[in-house]
Amino acid sequence: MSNGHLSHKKEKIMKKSALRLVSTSLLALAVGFQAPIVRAEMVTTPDAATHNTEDADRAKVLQFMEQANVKERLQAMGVDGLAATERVAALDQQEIHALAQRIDSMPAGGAISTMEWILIVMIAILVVVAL
Amino acid sequence: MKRCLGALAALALAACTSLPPGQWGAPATGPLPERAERADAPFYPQEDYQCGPAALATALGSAGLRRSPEELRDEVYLPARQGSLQPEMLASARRSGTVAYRLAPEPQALLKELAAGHPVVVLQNLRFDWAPVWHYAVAVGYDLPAQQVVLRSGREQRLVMSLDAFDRSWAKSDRWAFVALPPDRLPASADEADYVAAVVALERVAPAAAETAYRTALTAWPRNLLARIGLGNTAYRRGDRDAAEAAFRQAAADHPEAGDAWNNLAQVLHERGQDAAARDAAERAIATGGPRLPTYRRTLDLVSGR
Repeated sequence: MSNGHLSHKKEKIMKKSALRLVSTSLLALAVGFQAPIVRAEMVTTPDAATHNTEDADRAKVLQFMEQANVKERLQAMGVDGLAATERVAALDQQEIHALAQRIDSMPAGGAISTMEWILIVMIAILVVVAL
Repeated sequence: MKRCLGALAALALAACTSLPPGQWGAPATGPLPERAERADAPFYPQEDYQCGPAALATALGSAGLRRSPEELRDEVYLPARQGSLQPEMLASARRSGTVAYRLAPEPQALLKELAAGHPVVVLQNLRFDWAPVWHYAVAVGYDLPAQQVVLRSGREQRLVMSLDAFDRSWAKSDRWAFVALPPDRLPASADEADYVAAVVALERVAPAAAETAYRTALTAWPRNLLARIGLGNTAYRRGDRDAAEAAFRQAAADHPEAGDAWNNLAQVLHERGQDAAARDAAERAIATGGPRLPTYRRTLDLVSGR
């Protein structure tokens, strides 16, 4: 049953790409042989941008978790350092962005403030839920 | 002064407390002139609750674009809320072909822009946190010895407020402010990533203006990857493959780890009939991996004629 469904899907995709090939070749014929095929697999600027900020967000969260005092607190809550890092990689873009924004809005300073405590607990919850 | 609601601000700020008083002294980074004012910034007396369109018209007019508040009203005014939403103010500035750049929420950023002759649209709360009256105005100048800000506001062509009173009203919006500048002009307080992000948002609605603004960004930060890719994409969209290829080549040279740059370079080379070079570029893209690997693979298939 699931196999049949899959092959049906595959067939559909093949039909689609065959159609695409036919239409692009027709277009190429119509425009003349010299005209290159303008088929955009171009990465748009907004796409390139999401990638950048997502990476930056992830780096920010990881960097925060790498701080010795934060690491210690997370471990005290039963979240192991190495595993936690892996799970951060698994969080989706929105969650990561929300965390990174919170880190940004925190005042910089040495001691752990209430804000940071809240953040540490949030990370702990997110990471444990993602298990 | 007639009131004017920024509905979204009210929502966003429901749970916020006001910021502490800001630093209005001269910045450490460089001395500002004691006084500055764009006396030629146009004035449009506000009608009813429409401070949004009036403020926007002043900002755009200062950037050299004549657009009347009546014209802008349809883009930014919500009759049911008797106000204009902040994102729509930014979107409308973009539709007019300017770069809408949000300032860092601090007095120094505002002063820097005013010193450079860039009027700043600000969101103020003229009453209390618990009963807000939101109002858009345009700061056009300041006088530091006299501790004053000059605004185009409501029906007042030249409203002079003390820095203290102004800062209190502005802090209640978390110091929300933006400049709308022609694409060849960099904001005086521009941050690299923020400015390029503002140009990416412009590219969706005004690609020609965005292309100029990418150049402006690259003059200030020649190695910015996103601006370089944006420059290539806007050139490509207008059919200029020479310029597109040059931009993607530069992006890939500056950032060999940038798969997107290699991928787009491969596309352009392919379209120019340089298939061997296109295949090389596509392979470089694939080697970088990353979340768009499937796209890079499709590009390789395409340029290999598979």
